[in-house]
Amino acid sequence: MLFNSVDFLVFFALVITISVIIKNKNFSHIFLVVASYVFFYFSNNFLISLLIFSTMLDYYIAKEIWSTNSKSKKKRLLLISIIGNLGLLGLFKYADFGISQFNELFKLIGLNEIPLLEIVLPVGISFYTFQTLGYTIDVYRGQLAPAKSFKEFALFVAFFPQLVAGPILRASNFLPQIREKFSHLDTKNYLKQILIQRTNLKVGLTLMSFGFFKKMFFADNIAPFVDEIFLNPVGLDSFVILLGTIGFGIQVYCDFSGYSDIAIGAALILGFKVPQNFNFPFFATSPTEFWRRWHISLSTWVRDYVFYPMLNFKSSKLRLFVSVFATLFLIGIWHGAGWNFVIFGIVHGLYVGIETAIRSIFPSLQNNSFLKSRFGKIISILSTQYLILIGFLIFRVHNLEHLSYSVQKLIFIDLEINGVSSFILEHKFPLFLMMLFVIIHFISFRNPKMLDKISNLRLTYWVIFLIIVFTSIIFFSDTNPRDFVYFRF
Amino acid sequence: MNKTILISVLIALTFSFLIFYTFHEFFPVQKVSDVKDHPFFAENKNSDSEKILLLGGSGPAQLNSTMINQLLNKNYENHVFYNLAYNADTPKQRYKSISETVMLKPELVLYGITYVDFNGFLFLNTAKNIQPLPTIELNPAKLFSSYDDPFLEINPKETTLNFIRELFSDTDLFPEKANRFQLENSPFSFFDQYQTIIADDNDLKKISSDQVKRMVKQDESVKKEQMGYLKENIKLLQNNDAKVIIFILPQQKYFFDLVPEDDKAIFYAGVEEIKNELNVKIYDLSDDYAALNIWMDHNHVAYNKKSMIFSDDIYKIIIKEMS
Repeated sequence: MLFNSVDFLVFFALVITISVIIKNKNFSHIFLVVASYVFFYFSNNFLISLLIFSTMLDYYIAKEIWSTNSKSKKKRLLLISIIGNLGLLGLFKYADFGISQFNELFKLIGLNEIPLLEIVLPVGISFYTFQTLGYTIDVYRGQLAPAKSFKEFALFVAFFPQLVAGPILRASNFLPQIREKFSHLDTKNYLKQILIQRTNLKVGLTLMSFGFFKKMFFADNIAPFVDEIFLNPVGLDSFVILLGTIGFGIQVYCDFSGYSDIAIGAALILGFKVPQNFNFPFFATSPTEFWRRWHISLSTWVRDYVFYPMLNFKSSKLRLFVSVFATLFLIGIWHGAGWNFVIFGIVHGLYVGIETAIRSIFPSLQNNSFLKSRFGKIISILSTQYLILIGFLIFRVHNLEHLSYSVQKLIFIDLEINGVSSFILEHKFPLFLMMLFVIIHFISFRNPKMLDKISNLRLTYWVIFLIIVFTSIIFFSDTNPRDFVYFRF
Repeated sequence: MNKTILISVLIALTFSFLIFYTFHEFFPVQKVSDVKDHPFFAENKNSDSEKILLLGGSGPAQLNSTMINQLLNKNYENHVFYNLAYNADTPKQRYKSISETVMLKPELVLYGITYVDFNGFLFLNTAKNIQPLPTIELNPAKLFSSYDDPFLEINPKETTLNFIRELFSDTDLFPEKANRFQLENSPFSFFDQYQTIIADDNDLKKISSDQVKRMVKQDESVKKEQMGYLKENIKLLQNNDAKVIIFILPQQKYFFDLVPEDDKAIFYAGVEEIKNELNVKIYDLSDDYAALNIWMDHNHVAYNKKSMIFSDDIYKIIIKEMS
């Protein structure tokens, strides 16, 4: 079920209505779990069994880890959880890629090929497996007590606003919210229904409208332009490839952050705070800062569960570099099974690794006056975004021959301007949208409290804001809803 | 207070739809309301010449109708060939203009069909060429229907962009597509530059079996409906003394080799049914040019002087059927 569809709007309206009507907290809780499973079933059919498997696996393993005093038993249980979750992810996401690579090798040495499994990729598997694994690791580390009940844990895993494309929730943040809402400890509040608070409703709806606008107005209308360029970029000039890459960067940002806004807004309406997933990544002054601003829930997850465990206080610079590289490499291949994702991971690993190495070798750069000046920041932003653009190109173009051509064209820029004006004239609409996005995005960056300002508008002006957003979406909607890009992961 | 907020959202949504509704009503987009309303029918219905018509979708739309007509005139002076194929045509679509087609009193009709006539694939794709489109009724219930008849589908984006183009039509801001041309004997289709280019074999190799499966999957319910319309179209033509023959459209080798056997069997079973029920001759061109280097893409022969073999063979079929 896509967020940008009538089905979801009807579903969400029903969920809010029923949540408010049900006066029994227990039923409200179960209702939300059931609603989340229904939502997931719409997207995945019988593959909901994988979600249930992952939920049950980590619920019972975490309970066992918590209840045992034996360190070796804790380790073994953790290992089972890791193998179970990553095994699931590996099988559904990477098996066919692995088999196809073996087949290439077998072809060379004259052996028979192994048939591909041709398994469908379950929507959201990369997200909920990480979510449940994070929970188990937190319990193992003693940082978190396990969930008090299965339904509490099930809601944490399956909470529908963030289920299929994040943000990846942390149990330490979300379970207390669930307990606060649905705990039976206070019998006086046993019959307290879910309250939709006015502020949450307005902020949530504003955030959701931001999300729909980003996705349906910007992302979906820039996508055909990007698709046209990268269908076969061989033979195109640097200028066209650069525009296509910028377009893709805007598309994937609007698509993914739009989805996150809808998810966070929907969760807020239901009374849950879900962490921010994007923080103006296009204004990052370094690759490291980019990853602190882009897909924050994933980068912090990998930082806490992969990077930090690889380090200790005696870590050498080399170990630091290797840890950074490995972490970013994992982020790269998390995105998909393909050589372009491997290259994506390697490239970003090198970016951040080299930056980390430079900072540790030249610690005085931290206080460099030029880099802190306005002009210095602009240069840092532009050079960082240029590197990020190369990363986006690798992310987008799966065919290695096309990728090689495109990257060369971005690095060794030809100065062909012959076809520039006709290209611009033929693609006025998407280019206009890209410029409009840059302007709006810059204004938002300079006004970080824009969401609050708009949410706190008087009702009349708020309605006018909504009319502008809805009208823009309707006037430029393509009727056939496009998938969210991150659904593929 | 929550109710006020929710009512505000409903008001905003309703207002936005009303704005679009009003805009659509006052600024309708299409100049030609329907294929059946195309002036071609009115202009030719009473002409004396004997007509040979070709019907079908974008595959046969690529034919060189000028060349076929010129060759035909060498042997049959009073005959004229018209290619009435257009992008995204299906038997159900064609049915809407079949009465007008019958009124042209054709002597011979060649009907090109392929897998996509019997599945829902065409409904997922919009044509690249501008085609004469029917008037779109603004039915709010259909506003978000995606997989219905494409000619009844409202596309707000296209409506808006077309309005903007029309608004600035007196300026150079939105120039007409350069290099677009139309053949005199193909009133319902146009050619853009890309349709004249023969694709590189390496690019054609890159099609996957999943893509082919998606395009040729024979949907039983759609097939039943489309077959019904196809039979109706043929019967109406035959009842008005037109001889009808069917030709199965050619495919490029890499596509042809990946068509699943079961879909092939279902498709050909349908063709056999039409042949037997309506006594229609079938010409199977599906793999005639598969290995030749004449393709614009896997299903369309390029409009290029090196790829006239398809047009030539259609001409030969016409001559054979007329003799």
